[in-house]
Amino acid sequence: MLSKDALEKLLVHLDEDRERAGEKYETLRLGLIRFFEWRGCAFSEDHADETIDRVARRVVQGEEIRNIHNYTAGVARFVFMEIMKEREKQQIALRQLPQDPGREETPDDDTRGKCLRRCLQALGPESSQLIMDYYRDEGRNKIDLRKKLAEQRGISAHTLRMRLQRLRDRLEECIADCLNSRSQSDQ
Amino acid sequence: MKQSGEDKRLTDYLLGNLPESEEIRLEEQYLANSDAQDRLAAVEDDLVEAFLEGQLSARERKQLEARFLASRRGRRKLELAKSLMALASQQKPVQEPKPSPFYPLRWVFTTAALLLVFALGWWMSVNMRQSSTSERAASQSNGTNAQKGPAVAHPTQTPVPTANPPENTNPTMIASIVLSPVARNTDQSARLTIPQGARTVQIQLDLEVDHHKSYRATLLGAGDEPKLNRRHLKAESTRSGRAVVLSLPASLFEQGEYTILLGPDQNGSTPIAEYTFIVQKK
Repeated sequence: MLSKDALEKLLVHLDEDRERAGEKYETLRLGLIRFFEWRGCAFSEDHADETIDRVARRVVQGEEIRNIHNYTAGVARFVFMEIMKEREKQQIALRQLPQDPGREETPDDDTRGKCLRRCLQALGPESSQLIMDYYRDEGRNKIDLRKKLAEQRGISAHTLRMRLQRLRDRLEECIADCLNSRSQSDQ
Repeated sequence: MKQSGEDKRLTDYLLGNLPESEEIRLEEQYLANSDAQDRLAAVEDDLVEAFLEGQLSARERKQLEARFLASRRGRRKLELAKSLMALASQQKPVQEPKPSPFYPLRWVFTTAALLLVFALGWWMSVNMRQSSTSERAASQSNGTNAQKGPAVAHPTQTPVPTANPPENTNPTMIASIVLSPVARNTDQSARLTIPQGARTVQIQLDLEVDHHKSYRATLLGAGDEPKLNRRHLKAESTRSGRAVVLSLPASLFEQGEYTILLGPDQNGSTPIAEYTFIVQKK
């Protein structure tokens, strides 16, 4: 757990301006969560916090860190190596136990479909139509269609791609909330 | 999967195919820069799509399954893309409007209306010229030529005490534009013309709903690179409803495409609206 003093020192290390330091901290943490996700870790947020914790402790101990981002990336790699070692040990232990699939509880397709429709509606008619159009075709047709969608809006293909990425993020967030509230109301 | 150089590099990173030294360089970039994270997230989406469409090699599939798709968010993303593809394939494409049988007739009416407007305009200008000649004889006066209209960029000049002010030298010259969120704007992107000599660009961002105490705006360039961040912005009442108004230096803009992301003024919050416009400099 990161102490208040350690967090303060880490923030100062990120930027002298308090507001900018807060933003940089958020970017660093989100980047670390992605780092662990892209390596297939199930508890990426916990690992990100563990990494920040270790970096902050080094800062408190007065270690000279010239490039905090480079240093943090190095610490994250160490944390990941430890996770891998732990995973190997667990797998060996699991192989010796009787088989238990231990399936992750996933919402059924019907619930997911309802949430998807609700969240598409919440995005507004034009945005949801844009998403539908974006996913309509496959292969060469898909490429041509996306080019046309960008031209119709007078924007570059890159801007359209980034716009879709942001829309999908909003959709994902909305669906996660919707599934959560439905599972809570079922309990 | 055909890709450009940078996208290929990012794809290789996500699949674990980059040499360690390059991996570290990239990690250093995205730990410091949210824009780099967004680019990786866009490539992540492309990979998931390619996975579902069977465009990845057997090796790439295995790599993606063992890495990103093994994470909770990866599985969620895969589910979402699968559902969207299924839903989109069920939906019929939106038909482009067919020309109505009265199309030629509509042209006749439009032309007649335009002729009427021109005739009326000519008659009014003749009348006004006659009356202003007599007024000028009595006294000389200066006035503003500020106008405001939705989604139209226009120069605004404050009164100048000289009789013949030199063109484009007024330090308060403003170019302004009113923008609607992207969701409401399916037509061509709005165009903002910045005249030579303009110092300030005023951008009115119309809000669909005003639910937040204050807002944060991020201006992105054509490559989605952040150009400017403004925080603590308050919504105000305008003729078109609630809006956030930004005053930015005109020197910030080059010709090209820009996007503004508007969101609640909290760290890590998701944007609630997006505005795209094209800048033209004269």
